[in-house]
Amino acid sequence: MVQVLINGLARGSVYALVALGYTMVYGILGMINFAHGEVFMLGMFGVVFALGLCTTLWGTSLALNLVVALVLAVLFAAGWGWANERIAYRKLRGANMLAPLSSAIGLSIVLQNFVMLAVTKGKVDFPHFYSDAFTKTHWTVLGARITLLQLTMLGTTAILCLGLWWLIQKTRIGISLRATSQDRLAASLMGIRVDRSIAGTFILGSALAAVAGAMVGMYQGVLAFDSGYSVGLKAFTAAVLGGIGNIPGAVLGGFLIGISEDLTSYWIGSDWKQTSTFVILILVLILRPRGLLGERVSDKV
Amino acid sequence: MKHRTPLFLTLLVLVLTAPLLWWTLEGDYSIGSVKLAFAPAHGLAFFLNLAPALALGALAFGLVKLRDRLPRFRMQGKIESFKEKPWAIPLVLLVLWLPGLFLGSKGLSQATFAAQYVILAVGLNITVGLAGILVLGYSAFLAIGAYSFAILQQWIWLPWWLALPVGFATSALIGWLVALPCLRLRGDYLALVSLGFAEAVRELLRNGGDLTGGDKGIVIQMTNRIHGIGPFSSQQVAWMGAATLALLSVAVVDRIYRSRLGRAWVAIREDEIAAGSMGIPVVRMKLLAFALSAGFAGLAGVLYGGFTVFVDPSVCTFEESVLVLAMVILGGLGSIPGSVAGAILLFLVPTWLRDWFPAMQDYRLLIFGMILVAVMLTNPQGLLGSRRHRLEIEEGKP
Repeated sequence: MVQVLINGLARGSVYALVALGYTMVYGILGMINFAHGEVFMLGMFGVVFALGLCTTLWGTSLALNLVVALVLAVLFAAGWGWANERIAYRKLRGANMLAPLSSAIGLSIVLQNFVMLAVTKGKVDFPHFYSDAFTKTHWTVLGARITLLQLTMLGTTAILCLGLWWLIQKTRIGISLRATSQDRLAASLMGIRVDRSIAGTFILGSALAAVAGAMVGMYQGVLAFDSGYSVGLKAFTAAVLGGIGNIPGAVLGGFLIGISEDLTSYWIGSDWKQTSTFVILILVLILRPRGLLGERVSDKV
Repeated sequence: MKHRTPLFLTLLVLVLTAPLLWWTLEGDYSIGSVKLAFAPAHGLAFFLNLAPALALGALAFGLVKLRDRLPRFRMQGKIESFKEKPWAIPLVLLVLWLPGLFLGSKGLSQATFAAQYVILAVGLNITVGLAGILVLGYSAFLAIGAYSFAILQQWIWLPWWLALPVGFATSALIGWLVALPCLRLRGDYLALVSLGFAEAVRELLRNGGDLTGGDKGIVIQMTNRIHGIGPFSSQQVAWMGAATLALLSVAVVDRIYRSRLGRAWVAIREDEIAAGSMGIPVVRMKLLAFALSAGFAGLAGVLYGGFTVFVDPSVCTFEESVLVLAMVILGGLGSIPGSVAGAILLFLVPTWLRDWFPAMQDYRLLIFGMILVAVMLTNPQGLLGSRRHRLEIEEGKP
């Protein structure tokens, strides 16, 4: 049971990181960035490609390669997040809600299939030279096994969340982000470069997703072009569960979804994970549509 | 500065796609590591395989541009309504049935599938085009229709034509139940709920044990399939049935579009709050749109079951939902002739492309995605938008 909780927390930390991307974009633009799961997947592939690059350039060295690869993957994913915003969303910002959502779906299909065609239809193994170092080290706590990787996942998520909180609450960038999400026109009149803060939101979210991608790649050991789809769906559910647009809510939702998923596997069977996520989504929407930590929003006319 | 943006974006995309296109991974599992290898042939093959589609896309784009330049001589206003010419229905039906006698087996099955997609596209158009609710899991309702037929026919005598209302009702009821909790929320929630619902339905179908037959699916019994009548072969009957149903769906949706109900949906799509203030029961109207739309998918599902003689969980895939959505969006949101044209084009063109360029098969979804993005960026009202719809949109502009 403790084991199930630990696994669930580790899995949930990943959903939390991805959910942050959904919730930030929703908070600032009021739209669902459907292609976010795909950015997460590109981050996963980015890490593996960057590790390959390091090996080709100077050979295998555990710590150095991992750090360099992580930085490269974050840059890669952030670039994709930025490109997505510039290509598919910026022009449609003022349009009817359906238009940006459709183009986001189109984009997510394009990215997924691009990776399928350009890399492989099958699965790619995460180079286990790197992941073994994290999964083979483990401790026993209360009769449960906790690996270094799970600890790293929890730690990284905690650090990144605190960092994000600091960035949003305490820095000038954060002020401009918050101002843009409150009132875009007023913010622009106050001299805030709205286009930049929106692009910044996408870049931040994508960078977080890339870190999550690196950790999931290690955790699962394999990656595929469609890995981003189900993670994206669950992370979105997490964001709705916590109250979409609300940053602490996304983290809470991520952990809850992660734990619920492992509990479902434990009690019912791993074939029913998707259904349990869906049931949670429906229950939240019926019982508390604004999410656990969400504020009541009235419709603007 | 402005004119440099496309150039900049193209460069950005080229840079970002480069690592995945021009290099390949080489696993070195003796030490559990990977290396990168420069592989120009790999990247070139990608573009070569995509070339026919890109050329076709450029051609289509050019044609659309050209159409806008031409003086407008439209015939839509004259053929749209069936009410003014009720005698047109049997006439059109006869014309539709005729080619069924001459087409070969392959052509007939393609035509039947095309008709099935017409029903789906027209049905999805109710929610996405008319009421402005995005539905991402439409194939779930196709599967529900097909499975409700397949499951029931194991126990009772239920030929396909008798199963049509059953499939319609089951799908509509389930659609209504799914939409119930989320229609009071902002519309984009429903998009994701429907997506999650489709995932859950597929999982249910795969894990349903003896009831759903798991991954193997269910075979439709001999007596309940579509079979030949008199001089007509089973494929000809299937085509006639599909064509009749497609025409009926088009006629029904066309009538609804022109009714009070259709105008209420359009009002909700354009501005929900304003529509509500004008006394339109928004939630009830949206539920009705969702249920009706699901019902049409159920109809198509029964047809599918009767025609392909077995159903399995592969009916309910995200790919299928996106394909139908692309048909509706390409054809023009809210335009019924547009949906019909979109369905026929997007079903037949990829099928032919697959016959001519077998390497293109895997590129289907990539191309649909590109179409979705490109159409949304250039004309958000769709390529073949109806005149009324164009007026509806343009009137709202300041």
